[in-house]
Amino acid sequence: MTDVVVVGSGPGGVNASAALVAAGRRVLMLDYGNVDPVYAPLIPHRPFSELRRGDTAQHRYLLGDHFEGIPFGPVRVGAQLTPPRMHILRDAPERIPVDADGFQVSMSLARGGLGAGWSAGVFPFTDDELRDTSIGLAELKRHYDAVVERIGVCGERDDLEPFFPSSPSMMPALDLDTNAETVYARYQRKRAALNADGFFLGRARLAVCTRQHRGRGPEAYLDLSYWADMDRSVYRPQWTLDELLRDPGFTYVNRCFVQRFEETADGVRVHVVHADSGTAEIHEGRALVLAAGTLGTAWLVLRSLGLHDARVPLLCNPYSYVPTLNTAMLFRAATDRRCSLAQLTAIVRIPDTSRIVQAQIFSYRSLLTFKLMKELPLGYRESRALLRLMMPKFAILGMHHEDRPGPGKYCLLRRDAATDRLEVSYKPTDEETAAHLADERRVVGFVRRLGCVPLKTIRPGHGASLHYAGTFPMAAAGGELTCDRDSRLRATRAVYLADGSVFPWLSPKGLTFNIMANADRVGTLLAARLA
Amino acid sequence: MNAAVDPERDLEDEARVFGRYLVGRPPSAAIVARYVAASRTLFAEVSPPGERAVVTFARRRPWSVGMLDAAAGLVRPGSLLRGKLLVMGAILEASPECAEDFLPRNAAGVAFLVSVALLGTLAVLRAVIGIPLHAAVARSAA
Repeated sequence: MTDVVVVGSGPGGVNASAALVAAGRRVLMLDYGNVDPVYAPLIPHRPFSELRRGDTAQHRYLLGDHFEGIPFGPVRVGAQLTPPRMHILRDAPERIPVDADGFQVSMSLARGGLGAGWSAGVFPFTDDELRDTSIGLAELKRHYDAVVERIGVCGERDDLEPFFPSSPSMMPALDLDTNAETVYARYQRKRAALNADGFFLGRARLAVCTRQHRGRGPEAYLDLSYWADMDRSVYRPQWTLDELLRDPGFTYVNRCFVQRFEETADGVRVHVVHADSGTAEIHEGRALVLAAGTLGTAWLVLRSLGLHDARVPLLCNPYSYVPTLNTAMLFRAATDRRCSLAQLTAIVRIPDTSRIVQAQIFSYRSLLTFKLMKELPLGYRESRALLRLMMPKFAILGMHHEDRPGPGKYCLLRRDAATDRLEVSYKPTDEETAAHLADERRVVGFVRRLGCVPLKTIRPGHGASLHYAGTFPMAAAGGELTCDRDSRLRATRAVYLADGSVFPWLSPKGLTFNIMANADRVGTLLAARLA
Repeated sequence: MNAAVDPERDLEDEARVFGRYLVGRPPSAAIVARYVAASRTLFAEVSPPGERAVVTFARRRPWSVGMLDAAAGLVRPGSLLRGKLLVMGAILEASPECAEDFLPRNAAGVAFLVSVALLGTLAVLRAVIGIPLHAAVARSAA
């Protein structure tokens, strides 16, 4: 019998496994493991603009062989999922059916999970933000540091330092593009006044290697991050999986869909079916780590415990974005060398509350011009010409708000003849919605002071951030469907959760890096327990 | 064969008309073939007669495409004509011979402001003429 069975190869699964394997435990990872075998190999290692001018095969990966990369209708969740990334969401809606009125669900059965398309933001929580989890920064800090070393993080110690505890092995930040340089320069000139009003801006802290690290990187500034993993400079959980595969203590079972688990006298038994043949298999371990993504894990736990119609809370950071016209770029030309990921991160303190809002500033180019053309109420010929002029001057602001549990935000399992269905309800209160809108206006006001004129606010709808969490919250005390401070599900003896499920509330800062650190902690604790 | 009853030829004509409208020159044979394939995949469902009438009118009278498109952008942004033009735009953008037509242009200062003003004026003029034309063409199919 293996020591630990881990379900899922996403950010939580691989980081829990890495800690377990490093401590000498034997790990068996069960994964569905969808990959993209078609498009990624077609993309040449050349800068975006050069590739566009020369590669005759570009239509295949830019639009897809079935034109799946041409979006119609309003902006939707996953707009940044290009054909080479669309495998990330493949098969999940059929395997784990979800009824979600007004809430957009994105689940992944890909190798690397949703982390295979992660935008690489690294936002460690502060002591205050961890308080409700019953673990503090003092305990999690060494796991943040371990993950920073494992995944490679770049950033700078700047005005954001009080909001993002830094790690010793951080690499230098990415070079800013021209657009972000002008915004940052303006911020520096007005810094004292902006800080006094609660606005702080700094370089984006990202899981990107700006120098060679564990055989990856450095970032080559090709502006292809939405299309390919060039030089593996941007962290994907698959890179850790590749390292794990070289360890004799690690076994990877691919192409399997986990259906349920049951506890036995000496551990846990996991029932799976082969993804392609449908053959049933059973795997056993002394303990089980579930890292199937918040909603996937909820489906699996509720199903395994036979808890139909039992509500568990659900959280998701509300998200909106605002394209702005950066007036400082009206008299400057943009350089070609750039990275597609976030350039700057802003934190806004909301007066008379404990709330903050986090915003990130991006430039727009490599997601293609035609996708913006449909957003303008003009003829496409004029839209194209206008966007060519204006795109280098766009600063896109993406905003995340905090989320806390509420009576209208939950999911539950419904019995169905074919398979159990997850039902999601996500209805924030009127007060929450009003607070988000007010906070949004405040952030936009600050951005205006940086010379960026807002053009439109786009709210892709509930679920858009993909930061699902809070289904089995970790707390010092709680019922059967909560986790103890070791992330063990209280209804079980040996089932541990290592994804977003355990976070009792969502700071606006983005969860993925925190999932990784907690998974590393879970792996470390479990390894000691099983010694 | 009559163009009206040859869907393949209709799609090829559409590709040429829409391509010329969007970038000012006729598209290559490869782009035309790609547009035909995309149309078969993406527009397999039958659209309402009014929407088909607008596309047919635009295909047969290339001078009208800009005006109908400008009008549809305001009054029917999700229409068949807009969908087809978007697909053609995507195909052109993903072709090296048209890359320059879509890559950002580094205009700054006065040149930028003048270009934006001219494009804005042209867009308004096209829409002003296009809205009644679009309504008339769509109504003719009713």
